Amino acid sequence: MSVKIKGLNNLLSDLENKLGKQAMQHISDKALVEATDEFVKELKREFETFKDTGASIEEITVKGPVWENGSRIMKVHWRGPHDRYRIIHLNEWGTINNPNPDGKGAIARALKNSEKAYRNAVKKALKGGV
Amino acid sequence: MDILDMVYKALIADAYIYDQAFGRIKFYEYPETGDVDNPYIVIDPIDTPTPSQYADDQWTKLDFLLQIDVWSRDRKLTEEISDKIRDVIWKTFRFAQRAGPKEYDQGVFRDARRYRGSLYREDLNNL
Repeated sequence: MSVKIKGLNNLLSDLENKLGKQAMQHISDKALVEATDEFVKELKREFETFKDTGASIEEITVKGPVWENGSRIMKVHWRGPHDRYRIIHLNEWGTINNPNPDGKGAIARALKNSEKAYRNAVKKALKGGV
Repeated sequence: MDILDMVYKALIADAYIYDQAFGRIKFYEYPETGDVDNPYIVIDPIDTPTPSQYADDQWTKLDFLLQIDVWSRDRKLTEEISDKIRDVIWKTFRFAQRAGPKEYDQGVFRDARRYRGSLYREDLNNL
């Protein structure tokens, strides 16, 4: 399971016309990275509330920015020796045998609650860059 | 009146859902796999409603995130009920659906979906 974070397409393409492609990509990448940091911070905080060994927090991995289907995205996923990527979705959604695991919906909550911080971080990075 | 009640009332107001699952629409509580002879619907709020959209320093909307599971012993029925729920929720609340996992275990099919959306404060009789 991974979480994909996309850029703000219209605004970015307007700026691109003004500043040129390369300069713009540099700026928007920085915005994406900084905004993703905000999301990851919230995600870790959310996972703290039900942590056991802490492996799920440790293995949170950020990759990107990369191109995918024509847009610039960041990927937040689980990578590491404890193979949490295999089970993280079970914990996120619950299963028939264990419908209410601790921390059910933690990723969704983190996404929802970091929206504002995410937008602010993008704003800040764009302002700083332009 | 809270969102769970509102969703419950919207669901049983639909004839098809009423026929299939009346009496087996639960909040938070999931059935034991052995008890699933008829379709179960479980409504689980994933996050507390958060205030959103401000005007004059007052929040005007509440932002909701729900998970609704459908459990039954029939794969097609599970999906049909889930789709019906999606339509009812969209029509009543304009909450958008996010698909979740479909699962099969011990003869039980499960379809979990999440709904996200916001309602104006006036819609809630809790002021």
